[in-house]
Amino acid sequence: MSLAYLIQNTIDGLSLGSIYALIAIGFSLTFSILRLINFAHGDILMIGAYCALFIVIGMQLPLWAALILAMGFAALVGIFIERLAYRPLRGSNDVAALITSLAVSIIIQNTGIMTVTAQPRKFEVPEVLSNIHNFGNISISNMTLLIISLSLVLMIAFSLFVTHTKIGVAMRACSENIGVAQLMGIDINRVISTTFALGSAMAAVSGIMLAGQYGRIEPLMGFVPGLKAFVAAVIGGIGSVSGAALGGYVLGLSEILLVALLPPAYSGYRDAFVFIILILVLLFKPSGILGQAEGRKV
Amino acid sequence: MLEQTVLELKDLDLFYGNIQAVKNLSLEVKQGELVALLGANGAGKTSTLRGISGMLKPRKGQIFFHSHDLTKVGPHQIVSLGLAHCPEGRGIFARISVLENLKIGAYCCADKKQIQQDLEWVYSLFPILAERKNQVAGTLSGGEQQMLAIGRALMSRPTMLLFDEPSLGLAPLIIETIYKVIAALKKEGKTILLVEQNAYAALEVADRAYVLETGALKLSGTTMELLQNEAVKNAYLGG
Amino acid sequence: MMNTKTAKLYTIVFLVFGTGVLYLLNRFLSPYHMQIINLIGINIILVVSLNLSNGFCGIFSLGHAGFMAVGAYVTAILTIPAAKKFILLPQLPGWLASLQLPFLFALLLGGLVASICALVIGYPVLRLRGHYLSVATLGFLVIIQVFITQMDGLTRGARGLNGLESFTNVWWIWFGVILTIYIVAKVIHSAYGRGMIAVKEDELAAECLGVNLTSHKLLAFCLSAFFAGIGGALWGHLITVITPGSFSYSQTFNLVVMSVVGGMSSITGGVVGALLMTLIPELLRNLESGITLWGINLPPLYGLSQIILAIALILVILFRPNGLLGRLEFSWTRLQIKSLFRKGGDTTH
Repeated sequence: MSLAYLIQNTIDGLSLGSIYALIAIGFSLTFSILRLINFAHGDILMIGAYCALFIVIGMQLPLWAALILAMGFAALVGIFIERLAYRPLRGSNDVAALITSLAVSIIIQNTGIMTVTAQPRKFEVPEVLSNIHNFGNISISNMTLLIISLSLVLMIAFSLFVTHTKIGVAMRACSENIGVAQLMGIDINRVISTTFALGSAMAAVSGIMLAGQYGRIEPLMGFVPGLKAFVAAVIGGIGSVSGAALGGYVLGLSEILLVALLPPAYSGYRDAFVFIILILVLLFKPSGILGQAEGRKV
Repeated sequence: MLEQTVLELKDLDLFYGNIQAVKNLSLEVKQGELVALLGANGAGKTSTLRGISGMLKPRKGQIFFHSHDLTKVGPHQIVSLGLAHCPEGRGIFARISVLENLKIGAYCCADKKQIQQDLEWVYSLFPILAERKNQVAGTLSGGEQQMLAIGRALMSRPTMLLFDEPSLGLAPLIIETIYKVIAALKKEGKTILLVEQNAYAALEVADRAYVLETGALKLSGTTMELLQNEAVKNAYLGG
Repeated sequence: MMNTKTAKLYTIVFLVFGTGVLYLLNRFLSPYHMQIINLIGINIILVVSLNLSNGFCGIFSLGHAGFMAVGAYVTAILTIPAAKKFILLPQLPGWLASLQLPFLFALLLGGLVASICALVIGYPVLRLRGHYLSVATLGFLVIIQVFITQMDGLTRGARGLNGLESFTNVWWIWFGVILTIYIVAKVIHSAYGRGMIAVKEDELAAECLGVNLTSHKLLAFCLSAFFAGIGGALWGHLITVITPGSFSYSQTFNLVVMSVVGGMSSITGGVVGALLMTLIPELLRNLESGITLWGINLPPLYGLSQIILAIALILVILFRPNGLLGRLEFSWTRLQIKSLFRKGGDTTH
């Protein structure tokens, strides 16, 4: 095994990890605020990708403009889902919320199948992005560079948002104790809508990145990445923004490196590795890398 | 009558699902008064406070704060009316800094200068908080956390404060400090409703008290009357 | 009041009557309609067993389709004739290639392997609570799917196993239904079962009362997986083709819908849910392939039935969070009291 091979895979892992991190942040925040596993979060990613595709093809706009519009659209969808499906259930038991989010996810997936058909579609990116730089045996495409840097920019922007704006700090307060947050005069509905909007917008970006990376999209493309984002959020420690980001990178890197280091025959087991990692983390450090242990109230 | 009634509860019924926590409770607190709400574990004290601050919607009855009917106001709007709730178990945000906790207390206040003034005031009441302002709140000791919780409630410039068991789980010396502050707040003219299991501590500072038993009002009166009441002595003051 | 003896008698009469009805249906109904009746039976097995873990024990598992897959594949591999295996699965190890078991044994072994999987996965996962457990069991489903897709020599990967013998018929299925209901009811009404329910109501309190949490949860989970394996195997040998896609996330979702709609904490609820939620999508399926309604040609709408199921699920959660039946169970006694009321008679004798 050469050093170049290792570096190459590390870069690929970082790129995949940034995508996971972007999805995981929204996932982790909605979970810690509402105790809700939003299975539909992955499907928002699919909506973002299709939205961008149709904007590029239908309106002949450049990809960056499509990206921004898709973020906006996904944010609206996120707000809409929360209003319609999750808000009426607030305060009921955990299982009800879980089942509802499963149902929402199924509705989005099948609406996708009904409207854009289950056939995968080609997702083309501008030629610039497919350009590849070679450094000896290491090759990096502009797409990879863009994914890594854009995610980093978005995450920094998001962490500035949660530390420096009033509503961002309120968001962190809600993720710790939504009841007390309300006592402080925080309008939790506004905070929750904002969380869904931002989480969905970031999911849309990651959907477009996935689409650009693999060159094709289909209505079920969000399901597995959505679940993996949950794994990432658990690895990093649910409820912490930096934890979710860290978990995303750890998961992306370990997924790629495991495949790279194991014999090729095992590369198909990639998704299984991810969930084995999840089970191991839940067993040995359920609070994640940066999380705090969750006490049981007696 | 000179004193104006600030908070008034009328025939309040509170439920958790099908379990009734508070039965037909009426009470009032007048301007500048410190009223204690006493009772054993599960008597409905905390539920009453949760009802007042909108966390628990009453099934029956009314709650008036000045002229506002609190049952018709969203929970997050109550603070801006001047009513702050310092919750049971302190409820500080453990993962964010002391300073951020205090700023969240001033969430309804848009005036940065005013927030800065209030911060100085809270720091003067609890100097330890100034020392630890950049520390994550979860690293504070229990007493410091209670001080933070009170300081945070004060940041909204309330005219009335609800305290839920501020002495819970604290060392006697710290309880004394906390109660000194509560007494000082009363002196400043704040109206206070204080929930306590620790009846001695509460009756030492209170003007009047209500005693709850299994969700219903059992006794009420001035501190003097209650301190001399045999039933209270036996049940809450250890004979 | 009716005593247990009469109730037993009623049950026997009902079973005999039901057998007669099934015989007649089998004789005179079209294969298409008979297929629906068989699918209802298989779904009852799957949902009642799912209720054992999800409803009675509070282990909200999303991995049921994974156990179905294990049962179906194990049974299929054990029953395919050696000659056919040679062509279909040439890479099988020698002992497995020449092995051909009777369906009953293969079925039981399929269930057994599924419950062994449940044991292996359950031991670590069942210590988790709530959401974590659900996602971990969903993760297990993904793991099983990946393994089935990848272990080409054993499963033919994504191509799946086709041309399975159609062993499953109405008798296998409905006998399976009766057995599942009987065993699940027995377990729930045993001391062990009451322990399970205690675990669901309050883990900490149950633990304090000396209920061994892990063993109770594990038993419920393994038993549930056993019947899921049987159900999966019966399904496989009814449809005669199994692929990794047959046991997907949406299969788990369909079972969860049936379970929640009928009532997770009731066996009768499981039966009602399976019945309703098998029939309704079947009726809706006509919509999916496009029909003419009042002179308007509707285009094919693939996915519509799943959407309608999902909406039904959300509505049930909102308006009847414990399902249609809640915790009610069917019993002859209750039936009799009701009929007495209807006649206007008194209920005192």
